[in-house]
Amino acid sequence: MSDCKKCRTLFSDLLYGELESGQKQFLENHLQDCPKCKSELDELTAAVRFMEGRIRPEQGQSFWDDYWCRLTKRMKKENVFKPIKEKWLDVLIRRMQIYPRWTYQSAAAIVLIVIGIFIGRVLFSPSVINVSHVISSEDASQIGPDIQLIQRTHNYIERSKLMLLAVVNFDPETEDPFVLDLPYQQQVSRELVQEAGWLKKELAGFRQRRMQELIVDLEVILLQIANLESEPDMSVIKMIKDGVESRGILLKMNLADIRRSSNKKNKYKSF
Amino acid sequence: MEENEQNIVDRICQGNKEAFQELVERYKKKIYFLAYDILGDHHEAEDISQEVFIKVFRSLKNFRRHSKMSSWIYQITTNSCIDALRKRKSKPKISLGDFNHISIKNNVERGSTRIQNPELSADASIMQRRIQNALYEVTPRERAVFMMRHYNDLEIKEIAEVLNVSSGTVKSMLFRALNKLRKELSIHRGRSAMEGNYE
Repeated sequence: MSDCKKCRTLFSDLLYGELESGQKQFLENHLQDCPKCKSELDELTAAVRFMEGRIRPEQGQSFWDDYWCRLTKRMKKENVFKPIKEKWLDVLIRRMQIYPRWTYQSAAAIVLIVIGIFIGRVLFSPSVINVSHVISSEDASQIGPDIQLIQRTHNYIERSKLMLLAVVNFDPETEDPFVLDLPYQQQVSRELVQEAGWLKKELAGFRQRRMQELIVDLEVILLQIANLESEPDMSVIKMIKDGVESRGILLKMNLADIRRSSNKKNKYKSF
Repeated sequence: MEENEQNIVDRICQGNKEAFQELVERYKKKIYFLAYDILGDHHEAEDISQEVFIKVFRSLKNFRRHSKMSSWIYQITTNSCIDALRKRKSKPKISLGDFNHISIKNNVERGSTRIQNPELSADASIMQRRIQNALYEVTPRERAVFMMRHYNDLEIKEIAEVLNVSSGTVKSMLFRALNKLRKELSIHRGRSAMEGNYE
């Protein structure tokens, strides 16, 4: 910044008596050497002096004496003195000003969080399956006869499966033939064959064709097991194994199981 | 805020009319003169000063107790005057007659012996008109600052508080106003010299 420019910035401080001693010294030195700045300062000082000659028109004493009367007259006209009926919102805001702003901000944040949690729980969380409710709803008195029949059929299939697996998984080369416990297998097979007869008839009434076919296939195999000799005949066991395999009985049993579980899931969802 | 003023404010808030009158008596001249200085018109100045007191009465409940009462009132006055100046389309006409009785009265108060001389009285009127005209060449805000400092004895710091600006800004506004006045007055001086009217 040139000295002249710096000098001009100090003019107002000089005129209004706010110049520091160091600045005063600088200004005095510069003004001695710079006639242009000096002339400008002289003009400014002259302008200030000239402006000081300004006179305000003096109002008479009566003007000031009547001032209050005129003011109150206007205030009455404009209904200023009338007590202002505050709106309920203004009253509320005024009362709320008792506490600092941060308390309301914190309260609002907490309310928002609670609402968010509530909405999240109600709308977006997966529905909880009330197993106890499902089980109780399956009470025999409330379940229809078709469901009871299907349950019985599946129980039957489960028991038959255990039986078949024991026979099918039997390896005569590595295992002792007595491990198979044929008499027991035969007894269970006879019971299952008997039950198969009733189930077939009942399933025919409820149009459960797949189940019916599976029961027929199982009946054949179970009958073979029931008719086994007390001494294990490896050729017959092999025949049973081939029969299970060729008819795809284990696969059909597994499929029936899958269908059952999927039906169960759909049922739970509907709750 | 002074304790006394605090007391007045509390009483006004309780609906005490006498307290408000006390406040008006305390500030009426200051407000009127500041308004007159900025607006340059007696009727407008009175109107604005009344408006200021009405605003003060209405918003006293919202007044922040830690701030200075006078600064708050000056702030309302300045803003009202600047608004009035912005709304005004042309500057008020200043007649020579307005200043004739002023200058005579002023000379009497100063004990001047030259009062009898009508030529001097006319010169004083011309001078007042020149000052008033020069003041219309600065912006309303600059004029308000200049008037507060030169004719209402407000310190730079106080003006800064009134206008909500820094002291540096006030100083630069004052300098700008003064520079414009200097130029305006030198133009007038040149014209007067050419016309042979300048002393």
